[in-house]
Amino acid sequence: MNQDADQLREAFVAHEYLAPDAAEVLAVAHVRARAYRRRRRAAQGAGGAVLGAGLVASSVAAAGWLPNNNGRHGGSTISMAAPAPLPSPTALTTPTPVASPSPLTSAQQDQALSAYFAAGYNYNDALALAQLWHMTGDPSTIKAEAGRRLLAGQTLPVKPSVASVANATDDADVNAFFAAGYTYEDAVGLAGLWKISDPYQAKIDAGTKLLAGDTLPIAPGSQPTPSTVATSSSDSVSTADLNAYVAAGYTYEDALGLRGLWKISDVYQVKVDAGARLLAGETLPIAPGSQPTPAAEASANAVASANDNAVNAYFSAGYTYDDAVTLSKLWKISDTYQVKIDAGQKLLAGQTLPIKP
Amino acid sequence: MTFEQFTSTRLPGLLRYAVVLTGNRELAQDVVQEVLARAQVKWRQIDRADSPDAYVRRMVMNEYLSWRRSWAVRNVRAVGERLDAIGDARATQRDHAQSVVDADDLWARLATLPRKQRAVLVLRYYEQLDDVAIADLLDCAPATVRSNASKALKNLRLTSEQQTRVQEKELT
Repeated sequence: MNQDADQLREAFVAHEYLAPDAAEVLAVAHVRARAYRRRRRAAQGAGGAVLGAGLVASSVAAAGWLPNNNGRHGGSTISMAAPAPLPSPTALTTPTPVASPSPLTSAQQDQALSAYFAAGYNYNDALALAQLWHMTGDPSTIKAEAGRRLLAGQTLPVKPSVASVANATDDADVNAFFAAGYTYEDAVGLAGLWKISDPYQAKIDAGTKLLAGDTLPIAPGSQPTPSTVATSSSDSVSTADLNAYVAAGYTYEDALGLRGLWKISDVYQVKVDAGARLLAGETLPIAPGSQPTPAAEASANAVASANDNAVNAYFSAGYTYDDAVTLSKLWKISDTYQVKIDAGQKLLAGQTLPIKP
Repeated sequence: MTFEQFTSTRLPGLLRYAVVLTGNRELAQDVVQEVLARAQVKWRQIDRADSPDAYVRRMVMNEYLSWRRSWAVRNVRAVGERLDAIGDARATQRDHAQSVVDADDLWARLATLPRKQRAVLVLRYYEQLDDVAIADLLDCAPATVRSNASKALKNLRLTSEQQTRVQEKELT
């Protein structure tokens, strides 16, 4: 059992490096959140409860959500994926045949992926497209190809899983916000001033004011850039924090103890936070090494291990779930899992069961 | 805590959790994107929770468990292909980095588990949650958690034995 636990933990931790890029994930999440807010506003405007998801979907289809060459859908949604102004999508709008995708540069691929996600497509859609197009390989390539077709004004053969509803008014407001030189950080600052939890809404409100000729309470670009997500500098800070945590004699079990106190689910984050506090000269609420593996836990592990062995013996002898149900009736035990344990223990003790496998 | 503060401090950990949970970088990305999009829209409600971090992680878990079955079907084929590759790698790299190969091997076998069984293993051995907490998270009885864990471990061992037999047959 403990060996299993160690091996599994090692396999999990060894593959944490596969985690996707945080900035990319956040950018797409912002775009999708925007689509959800629009749907919500559209639903509220049309009478809320009356307008169900099906109506929203059909309105999306009727509006022709896919961009045309002269449309602004691709460009405007991409600009929301990243606060900084992006190059015009016209660089990729050459309507060439796309039966055999040509290799994209890194910048083009990023732009194509942004367009793909901005249009509401996701991983499952890429798999569906791969089947239709008889493409194999990395799904990112398929997404990029789909994004390229979208930017070229083409229609994809599948509908997006996340419907993106175009809203020209909001786009105009947000474009006005960015055109005036304001940044995402400015939107966060304005949201704080106006007591709005959502920076995107702050962009819309700010853009509306700008278009009406009003001035905003902060100057463009006046808000400092916060520490970015998962940058190399933050990584080095995390490493320093972790080192401080370990150097102070704290252990993995201590992190588990702190996790319960601080209500942070991620043990790694607990260590980083604890290390940061130590580096700031603070003391932690528990002493180093004060959280050994509890005897109760070890005991529970031992019980669980014995149970696992019994259940394995049960299945190894050829018995099935249906047999457990039969035995549960014979032994009048309602929990079939407990029946398997009891039966397995009997088998391990050399006894025979009242039914054959 | 604002949504921005949450993502600036918690997102890397959330992504690590998602990739361990899903076993697939692309799926982890999609799941977290979807969850963050919905979390952003209803952040006020989430911020009122005792632990926004735990709330969002629960959202990630639910999203993963309810993800379309089509993904799982396609992914099993991909894992089969990957198992072959790992078998080749094992033959040539057995002398060094054995632990890395073993971890990769186990990772590939984990990908063959039903989602709920995998989730239980991740919550128990990666998140270090006890069975009662896992049961609460998965909305089932602790006995079901133990049952899923037991089946998962059994499946992993069986897969390993089958793989070994195949490799031995190929060598002979």
